[in-house]
Amino acid sequence: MSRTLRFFTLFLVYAFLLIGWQLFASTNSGPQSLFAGPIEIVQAIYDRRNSLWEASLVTLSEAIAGLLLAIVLGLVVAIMVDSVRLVGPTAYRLSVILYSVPLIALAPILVLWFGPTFTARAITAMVASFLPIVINVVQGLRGAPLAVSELGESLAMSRFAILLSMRFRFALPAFFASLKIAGPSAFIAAMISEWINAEVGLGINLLYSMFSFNVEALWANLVVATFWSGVIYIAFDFIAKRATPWHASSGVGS
Amino acid sequence: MINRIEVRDVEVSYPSDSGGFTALSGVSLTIEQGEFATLIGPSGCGKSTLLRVIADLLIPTHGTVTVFGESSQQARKARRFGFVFQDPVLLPWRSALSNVCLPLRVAGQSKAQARKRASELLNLVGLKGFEQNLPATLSGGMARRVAIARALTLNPSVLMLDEPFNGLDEIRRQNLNEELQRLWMEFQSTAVLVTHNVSEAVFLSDRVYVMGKDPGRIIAEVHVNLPRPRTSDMLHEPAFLEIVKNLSVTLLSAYALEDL
Amino acid sequence: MNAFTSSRKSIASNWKSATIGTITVILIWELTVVWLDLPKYILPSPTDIVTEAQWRDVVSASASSLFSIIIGFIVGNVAGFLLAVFAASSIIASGVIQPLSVTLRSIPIIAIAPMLTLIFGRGLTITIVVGALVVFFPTLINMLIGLRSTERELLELMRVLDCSRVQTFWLVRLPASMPYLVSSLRIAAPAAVLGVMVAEWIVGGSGLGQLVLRSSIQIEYPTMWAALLASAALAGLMFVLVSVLERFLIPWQSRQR
Repeated sequence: MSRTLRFFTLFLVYAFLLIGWQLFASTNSGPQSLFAGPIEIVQAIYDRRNSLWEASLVTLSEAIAGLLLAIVLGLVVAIMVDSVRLVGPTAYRLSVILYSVPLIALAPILVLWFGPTFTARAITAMVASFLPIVINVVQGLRGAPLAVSELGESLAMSRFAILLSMRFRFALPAFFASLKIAGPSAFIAAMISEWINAEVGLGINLLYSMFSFNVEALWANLVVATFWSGVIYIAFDFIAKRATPWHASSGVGS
Repeated sequence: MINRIEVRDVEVSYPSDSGGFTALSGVSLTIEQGEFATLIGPSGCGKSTLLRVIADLLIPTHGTVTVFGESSQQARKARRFGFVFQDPVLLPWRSALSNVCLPLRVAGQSKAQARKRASELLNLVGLKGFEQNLPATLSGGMARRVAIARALTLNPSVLMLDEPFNGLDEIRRQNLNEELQRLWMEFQSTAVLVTHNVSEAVFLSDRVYVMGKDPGRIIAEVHVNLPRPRTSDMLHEPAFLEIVKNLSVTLLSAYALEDL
Repeated sequence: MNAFTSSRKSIASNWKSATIGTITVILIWELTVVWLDLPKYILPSPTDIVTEAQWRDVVSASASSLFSIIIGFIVGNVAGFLLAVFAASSIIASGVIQPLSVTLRSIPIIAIAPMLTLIFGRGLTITIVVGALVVFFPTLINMLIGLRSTERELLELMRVLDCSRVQTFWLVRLPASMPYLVSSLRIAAPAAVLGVMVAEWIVGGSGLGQLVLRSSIQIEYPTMWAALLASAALAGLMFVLVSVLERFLIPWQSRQR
């Protein structure tokens, strides 16, 4: 399909859905109704735009902090798995176990340890997003041709230097691809962690809206949350393409 | 009954927003029944495209193809083509035997019949004992033999080969060339090969078509009048080398038409 | 996971090292708590957890959660799989779903849980629905990618053999998409656990999510930790399930590893 046709189809599909949704919501409207049409949602967002913006900033900063921590932790673990034979497999297994603990169980523990603070939420986001980075970076390093290591050795470079300066380049496409998964994961984890411990944020807004049966607020927050999640994904997709243009798989066809 | 494949004035062009691209233009050729024809030329000259047009895998924007009196579409639906691709393209979840069975089962034969015929063919290409191997456990050369066996299962009238031996070393390549010749003679089919290896072209073919690009077209036809069956000894004989030289020179002129 | 452990180890020796590892971790844990005299609200020792947690509640909560997880996992995957198959075979359907995939991917299902609670009310249904939804979207998207990614030459082979669309689907597209299904199952498994527990946390009821909430409010930390460990065990169980499915769905790859 040519680009223009693709944009046109995209436009048609979304237009169709939005119109259909609006019609459905209109026929189902009423004070007890749980469905809000796109028009009502946009109105609701506009009405609350200041508080939504504030909440977005909070959640986004938790997510970004968590993601940065996840990158650090992920790279450290990946390097251990790749280079330190003795500790590597254990480090990996521990990471998998840590990652598997459902956030809703882990978050309260983190609050006990760090108090009801930003740190606790950021660490929750970190735990939720570091493993994809580990997996991808290790796979990427494994994909580096042996010849590269041999070249480094022939130049009498230390293993670590070889790793940092040469082999890591090969892992970059996989690294950026992992951020497309890790980013949204960190964002969702930030929202969940807010349920345990927060005053302001998109996550806590969702919970409060539910408890107070505030349908409009619920939809507004949900749409904004979806929006940010999508933006994060697209942003990392864009970064991946720009940072590693030489690699065919750095973009995902959608 | 017409005993040849006729390609008349075939054009394949792809229109696009930026002007379009012509893969083939005004291509005509005739391949006699039982002949071994080869298409050779620089990358982008459309030789693989032409192969696919003959096999009805691509529809030309202009021109006709008849295969022994039938249109190319009729021939394809009657399963007259055996196609060997650049990559062996074996289904990784099926054993070698099962892969060779595939055309037979699709054509409606029973499992027992198909397995019998498939194992005959695997034997024929020298892979007896490897029937249960999964493609992942076969070497490149072995996988290509399975692909060839698969192409032969339905006794095709026309054997089409798209650079089937790319990436193999000289020795293995020559081995497979000799196998291919043997099978082609045994099955008495017509063969159309695409390659960019001059020695391979001369070894296998009766006629070689040299193609040029921009637009893709045939620029020369070289006859190879060496006796059959050809053997690897002949590779060093003066008659062989003379033809290789001629072909290389002609091929070089195809390259010279573009900036090398 | 297999890429990261020596593939030459047999299953038995893997279990052995896992057991040794677990015992070591428990010992270190116990010693650390005792040595540093950590208060219970920071980190209870394994002995505290074993003796003081309300294990009956933990076990029954685990069973309840496991039930929702498995049902949700099955329903979500089957639905995602079928819809992907349908969409891939119809140009109109895939033309509609493809543009939506980024949006679909971005909807935080966890965030939808509150919305769904308002619609469906509290109860077991909600936990299963959330679990299924969490699983549905990744499977749908991955299967769509898988079904469309058949190599061009493989499709040409099918044309040379004059295969109908149905034949091409059964013989080639479907088996070729199995590796994609397996990788989406690997993502779906822990996601289903989290989804169900989140739903339980919001909605109440009898699952582990609820137990975590209740025990943290009632300041019964050993029970909370026991619930946490149980949830990790459930995640592990799902992982084993997916490994079994993997051997079943893509036997030709598993043999290599």
